[in-house]
Amino acid sequence: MITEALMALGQWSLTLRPDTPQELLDAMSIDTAAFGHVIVHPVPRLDPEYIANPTGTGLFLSSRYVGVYRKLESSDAGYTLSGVGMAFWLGDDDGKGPLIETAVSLSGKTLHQCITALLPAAVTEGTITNPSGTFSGQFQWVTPRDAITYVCQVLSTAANGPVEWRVQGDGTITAGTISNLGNSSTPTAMVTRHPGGKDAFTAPIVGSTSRVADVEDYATRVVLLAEGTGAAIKHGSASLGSTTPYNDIHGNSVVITRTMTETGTTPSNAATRAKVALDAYTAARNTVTLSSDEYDIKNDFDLGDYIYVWDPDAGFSDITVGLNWKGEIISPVKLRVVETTYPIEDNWTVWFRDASGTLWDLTPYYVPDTGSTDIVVGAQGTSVTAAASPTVASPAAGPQVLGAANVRMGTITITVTGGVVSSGHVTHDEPFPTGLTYGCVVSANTTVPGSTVEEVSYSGIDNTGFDVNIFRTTSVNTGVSYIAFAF
Amino acid sequence: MSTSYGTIQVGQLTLRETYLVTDTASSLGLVDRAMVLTGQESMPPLTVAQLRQRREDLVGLKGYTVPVIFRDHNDHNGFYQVTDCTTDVFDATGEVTTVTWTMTLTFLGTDNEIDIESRFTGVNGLSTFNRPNNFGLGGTRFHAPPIGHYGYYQGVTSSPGTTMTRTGSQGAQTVHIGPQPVTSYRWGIAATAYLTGVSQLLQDGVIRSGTNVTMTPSGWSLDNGLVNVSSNSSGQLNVSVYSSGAYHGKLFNLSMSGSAAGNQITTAYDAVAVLRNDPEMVAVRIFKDRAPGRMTLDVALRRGSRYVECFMQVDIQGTTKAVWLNTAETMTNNTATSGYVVATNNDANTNKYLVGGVYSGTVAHASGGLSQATFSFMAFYIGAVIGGSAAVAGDTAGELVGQYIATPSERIVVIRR
Repeated sequence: MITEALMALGQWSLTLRPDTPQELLDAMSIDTAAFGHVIVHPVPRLDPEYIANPTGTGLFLSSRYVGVYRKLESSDAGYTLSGVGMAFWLGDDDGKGPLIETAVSLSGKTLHQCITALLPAAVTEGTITNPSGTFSGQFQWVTPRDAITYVCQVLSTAANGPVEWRVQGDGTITAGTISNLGNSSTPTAMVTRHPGGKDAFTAPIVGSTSRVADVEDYATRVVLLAEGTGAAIKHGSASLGSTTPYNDIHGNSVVITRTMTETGTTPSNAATRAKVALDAYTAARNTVTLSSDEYDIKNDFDLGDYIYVWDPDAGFSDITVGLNWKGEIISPVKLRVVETTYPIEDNWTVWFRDASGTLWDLTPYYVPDTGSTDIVVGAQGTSVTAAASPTVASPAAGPQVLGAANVRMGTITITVTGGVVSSGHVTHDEPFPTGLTYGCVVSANTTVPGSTVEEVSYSGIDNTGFDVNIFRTTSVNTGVSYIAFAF
Repeated sequence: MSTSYGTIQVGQLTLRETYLVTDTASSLGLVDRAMVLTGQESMPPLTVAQLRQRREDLVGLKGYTVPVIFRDHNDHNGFYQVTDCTTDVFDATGEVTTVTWTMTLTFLGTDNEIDIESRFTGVNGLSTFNRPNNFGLGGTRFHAPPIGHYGYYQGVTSSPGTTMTRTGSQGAQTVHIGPQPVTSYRWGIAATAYLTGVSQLLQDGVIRSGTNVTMTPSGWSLDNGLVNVSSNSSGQLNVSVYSSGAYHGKLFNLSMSGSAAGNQITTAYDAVAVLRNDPEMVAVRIFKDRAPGRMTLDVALRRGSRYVECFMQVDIQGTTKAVWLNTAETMTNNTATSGYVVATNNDANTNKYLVGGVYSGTVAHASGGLSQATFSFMAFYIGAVIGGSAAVAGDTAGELVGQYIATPSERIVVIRR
């Protein structure tokens, strides 16, 4: 089976029969053949031209899939080879790979300039089309995959739409908007429960659907903690521009603020990164898994394309869409294909190319997969490491002062009645952000004459202010210094 | 007890009531009740064609929700879903042919304990549903449950719309005009009345079931009691409307390569396939070779509709597609503002035909029709203003256009009351 996902590693597995020749098994030895490539073509036999020119780009670019070999399992039932997709060469899911150890600083660079500065030797430049806008930032101690994904996300403005990258089967990278990458925003296929032949414009994919819709990650505001430490931490934020459709029990609009930590984000990118994160969390998440036994669906759409899904009973309809379909007018919803899993079918061609460039024909010995094709649209499934959703991390353990913007310092003079706790109220000149935790340090200013203080504390700190409480045995005016902060 | 075999009516399919019935029930009650029917159709007494039709329709019923009516054992009457159907054919060199069938049905309920729920396209309120069109047209929805429905429920509303009666070959049908724009309506109906005032798919005059029907290009027809549509061996559409106790037809020429008389299709279509065969809507796809290339024409007919809905697709952009009356009539041209033409005067049957489209580039045809070259497809409808200049409310030309624009597709589900 092969699983492909947008800007993610995906995975593949292939089983060889027990009677596979020893020579071939020796060639598949992990000790010598690891990080070789499996090449899959959905045709019974390749044209000899490709065999004669095994190193030519035709072999890779004409393939249905190229994967990186990382694992071999052997048992009485046969030998199972497995691995991940070509995105591996930019960095794997554990953050391993051609790590950027020497800082790469980018200032006002286009997508093309950014990518060429971040590429490792394992991936060469393909077609990179610049969207509007430039990027400024610095990368170090991250993989090129994380860095390039970061750049693409920053450039995924409302004007550009999604900006993405792909590593092709020949080890080149293409990048740009989804239309630059060849994805179609006009659906050419529709998943439906009802059978039917192909329309002039839209191919039906008959299958079953399952849907999970949740708001578990929903947020109305994102505060992103960027670079810096202690009082110098920078932050950016983004809030829902339109009114949330959800209310709390009292009818108020729900308030859900999420924090993120990206210490490598510069202040200039903080707000944009917060917006990127917010966009991912401002709608109910729909994960649709479609299972189809239909013919080769990749002939009708590809990963990243938009397809229609028509299943009104499951909630898949959009009344703003009117589509003539088999004699009636329907309202399917348009969703993007973010992940596909499909079998390596019978009568396909499978090659293995080792590190020396030698091609090994696995076609006579692989066991065809059975099973359906699964298509994930909308939010990505969890079975495969998803493309880089913005990194969301818990705030660093323990309180940290965010920086000058979230610290209030000052003094207050309180008339203290002897033997009684006296209070003065401090109001933040500008309220702190909501949804954060607040702290305070107060101390009596002993330079004020007669200001011997037995006890000083604060209470009720929130984003608007707090009360300072003083107890002393005699009455006097005393000054209190304070630092209030939010984190 | 009758001494002759009775009949079992399974949806539109009539079978011999041999009566071998197995009922199963679960402790969960009626929800899991199932019925297994077994019977046999044979030639003789049926003809080969009739036997073939029975077998095709039997296997085509799988998955359908149908009323089942027993002539003799009506204690089993009710609404069922066909979950499986198998047929075994025995042919003794053509002298005797038998089709032994077994059908498994899930019992949904008797007609006094269930409602029929009509579900329309979309989920979250359809007050703004309008078919995409280039004229900015809105409209008023219509909904026509079968004849004899009762207890029409559209939710608590202060704007229930109006009702009107359309009389057709199947009887007088109550049509709801402008009901509350919700996603579903409920109504009650006797099982024996469920298939009266409905859309029907016919082949050689026989009502058929399911979508696995062998259709012939000149033998098919769609009928809802108000409109009947078919095609002939000259590639024309025959659209007949019911008024004054009879059908009155007009021939329409079609073209996929221009709007001149010499461009019309003059030969029979190459194939016909069934797209949908439900009481609330029937639809077929007509196929024509363009040598090279192809044209497909989807023809659909809703229950209670005064017009047939068509969608022509051609594999070449910029090709002029056209539909026009074979016998020209003077039409009033509204294509600039509303995309349709309607006969200026009543015809001999006191009706006025209308033809309309929804996309820009739709222009009137001199003979009474439309042509369109902008896109590789043409959506259009053909109907009639019954009563002509004296049409009742709900049947005027502008109202029919609005109903075409604003009525989404319908599906039905049987639910418990």
